[in-house]
Amino acid sequence: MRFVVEGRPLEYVEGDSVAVAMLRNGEQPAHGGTLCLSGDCGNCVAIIDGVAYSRTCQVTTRAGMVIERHPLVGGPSMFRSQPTLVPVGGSFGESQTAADVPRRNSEHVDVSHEHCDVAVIGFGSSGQRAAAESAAVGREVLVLDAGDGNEVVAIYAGPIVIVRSLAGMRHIHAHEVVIATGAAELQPVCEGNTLAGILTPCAASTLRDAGLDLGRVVCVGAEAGTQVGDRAVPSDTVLDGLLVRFNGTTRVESVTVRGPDGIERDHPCDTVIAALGSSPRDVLSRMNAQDRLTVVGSASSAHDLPLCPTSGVVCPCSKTTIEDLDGAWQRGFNEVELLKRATLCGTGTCQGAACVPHLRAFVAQRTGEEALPFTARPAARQITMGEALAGVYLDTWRRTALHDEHLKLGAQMDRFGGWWRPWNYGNHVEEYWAVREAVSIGDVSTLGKMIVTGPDSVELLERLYPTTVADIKPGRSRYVLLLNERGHLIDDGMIVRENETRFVLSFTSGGATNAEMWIRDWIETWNLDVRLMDRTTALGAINVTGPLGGELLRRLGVDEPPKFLQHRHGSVGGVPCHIMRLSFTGEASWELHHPIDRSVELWRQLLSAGADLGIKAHGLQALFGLRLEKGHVIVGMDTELDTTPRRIDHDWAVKTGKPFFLGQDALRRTANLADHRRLLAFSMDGAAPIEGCPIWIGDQVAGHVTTSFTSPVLRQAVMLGWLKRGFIPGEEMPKTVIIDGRVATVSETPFYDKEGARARA
Amino acid sequence: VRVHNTKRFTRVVATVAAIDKLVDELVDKLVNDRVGEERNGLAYVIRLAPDEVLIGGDGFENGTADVDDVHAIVESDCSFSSFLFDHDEFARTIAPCLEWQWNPDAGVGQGLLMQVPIKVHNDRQSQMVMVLCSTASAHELAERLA
Repeated sequence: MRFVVEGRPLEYVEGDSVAVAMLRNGEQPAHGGTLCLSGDCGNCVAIIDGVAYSRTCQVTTRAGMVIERHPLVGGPSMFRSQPTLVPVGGSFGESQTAADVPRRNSEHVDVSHEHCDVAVIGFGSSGQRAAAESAAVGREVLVLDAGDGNEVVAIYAGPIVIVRSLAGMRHIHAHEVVIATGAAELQPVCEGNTLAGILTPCAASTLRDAGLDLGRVVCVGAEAGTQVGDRAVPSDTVLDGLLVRFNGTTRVESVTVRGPDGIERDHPCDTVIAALGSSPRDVLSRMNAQDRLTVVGSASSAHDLPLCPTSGVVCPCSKTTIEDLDGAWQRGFNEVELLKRATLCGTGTCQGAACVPHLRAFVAQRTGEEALPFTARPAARQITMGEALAGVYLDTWRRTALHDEHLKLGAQMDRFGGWWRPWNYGNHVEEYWAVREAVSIGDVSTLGKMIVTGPDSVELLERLYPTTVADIKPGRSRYVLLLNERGHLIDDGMIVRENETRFVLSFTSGGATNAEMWIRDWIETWNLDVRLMDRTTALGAINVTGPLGGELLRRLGVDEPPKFLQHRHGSVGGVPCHIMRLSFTGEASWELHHPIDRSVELWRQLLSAGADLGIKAHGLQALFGLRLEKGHVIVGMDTELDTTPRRIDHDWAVKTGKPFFLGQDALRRTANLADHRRLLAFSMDGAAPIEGCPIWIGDQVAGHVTTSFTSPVLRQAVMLGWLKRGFIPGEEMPKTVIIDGRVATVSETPFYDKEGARARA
Repeated sequence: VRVHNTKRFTRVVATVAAIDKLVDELVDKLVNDRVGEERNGLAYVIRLAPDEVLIGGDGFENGTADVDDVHAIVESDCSFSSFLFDHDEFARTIAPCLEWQWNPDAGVGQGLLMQVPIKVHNDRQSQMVMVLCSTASAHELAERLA
């Protein structure tokens, strides 16, 4: 059976890890450095089947696997290379095919959510004991061991354990996590430690077990038989003394040891076993300091720090040397965390597993104190983008029941307030004129809609809204602001009164969800006897607007369309509707609220009945312009998080004399204070500038444009924008400003139809 | 994805006591109907919250209900779409994708499935599991399930 290394087919033995298979063929997995073959370090990473940073010691060789080394200088390509799966000179082997390539190499990675009482990470002696003890008291235990193909790559708050397996990513939701990951062997840090031919005791045992000839072997650092990690130091030529350096060009050819007599001696060899002790395998436990996370066994044991290194590469992943650390230290980076940031030591493939003990020893020697290791960040080892994003979904963008109708009309759809909405149907100016001169329909199904009833419904609304509610007569409606306790605007909409205790509330498309939670919270807080039902997604809404809108409704059976700010239930073309006379466009408008399973039927009837009236559907682009000509504010677009009614000139919507409403205290406290920002209207000749454009007074930026529109009817640019200076009471308003290099006049709103005659017609 | 269609329910918001009473009466009626084999289709009583219930199925979706609360809100509602799975298929393919621990013995569960808010109704008699999501998000869930 063969696999491919750098384009050459090589034989392997079934069960070989990729690292062992490469070494069996005289190939180094990477470009040198100590091998642990335990998954702790990054010295064997390579590109396996196009996936870079794969730990070759942790991947079982498969027929046809394609291995490439990382480049000697710089990192591998950010983009997956295409592996060559066709072998040179025949098939890969007896039974395996390219389909056996691990699932993680495909574009799609499955994710599963699993739940358990206790997740035990590591199944050595400590892990086995922890699992047995938990199971004995009846707890559901899940064991996760890298040897079984379950690599834990992260632990998040929850705790949620993220596991990479051949079947995909596993997200383990555990009540408790036990980390029993044992200890990792220390890597030597001295001159020449990037040469090939240096092994930890564990790696040496692994290669011998696989039948590899290691040549002349010497062992430094411990006596034969000494336990290092899970393995005993092999009985090779044990060199008594202190490791000084490794010698050679690309492979180790000898090792220099300072004996007890203080004399340095070179010892020729092909392989050096560095038995320097161990340190806790603590990357996962450094990731999440939660009380439902327990570390047991060697992973929690106190380990002596190694001797402070004096030369060599400390962090093989980032290639950080002792000289680099010294340089950073001298520049004042005198903590473990700061050294990490200054040199990137500990931020590489192994997340500090190899270098953190040496880094701590470096700091300890200079400060006399043992510094704690830094927090480890997920993931503990490199994972593919597919694995990182497995189970991650973007926010859902909702569609109205008329979505397909918009597409049929050629709508350009865009996302607003959590919904797909038509931006225009090809020509927003034609849509605009249909509203101003004939009739148009718009899909406003996205508006928030809520029913409120109950003995305390009036009391609730009086407290919620700054306007008076009790005096709204059944059959009438009123525009309202929704304020928070600080008097800041969080939404706006309409109150529609149906009878003494039943109301329909409307909200902006983007604000509906928050508004519902807001109101429910206050109902609970005030302990009011109220029922509340959100109808946002149950009801569609179509806005019929324009001077011929009334005629259109009459053609569909509405003999007397409601007058301005009135409403009633009725049938429009056989579709049951709640007909509300409002106006956002500045023209006579009726919103038709109806069951969403009748939306398409109603939409088509309106278009059909209005064909000879010049009806067109309008999108948001036209709607935003129409409302801007009327000076209507869009919450969230024209407002900011601290916008008060005064700042947008909406004091008229606030009845400060009411007994109570949310935000009343704040508005009273600040009523006579100087204010320094205000939403104003501007107009100027020419085309509208882009939204967000700065507003200049002299050579100072004084604010920015929030919305702008080139008005077809006024033949000039109209804008709303924030001026954020010069509003000390009594101070004169600026008359002109500079926008987009042009003189703009501070204007009164509405820009168009100042008396509101068209909306009330 | 087995079935994806818009469901029509009667949606009721009322006092907790009134909802308790309504649910008890409906469940009795459904059980009796089934015993008497008077009903061919499925019927659902899905308690969304202490003060809110969805009632669906033949004869239960017309927006009327006898609720012991003069201020109750009773509305016909087609804001949900449904996806139907047999119980074993749901347990094997969908439950592992839920971001909460699904209890096969519970009648109703609510939470996220692939980032889409859903409700799960487990009908033990029919061995069917119905996933409900907002009709406005149904296309998105269908794509993600596929």
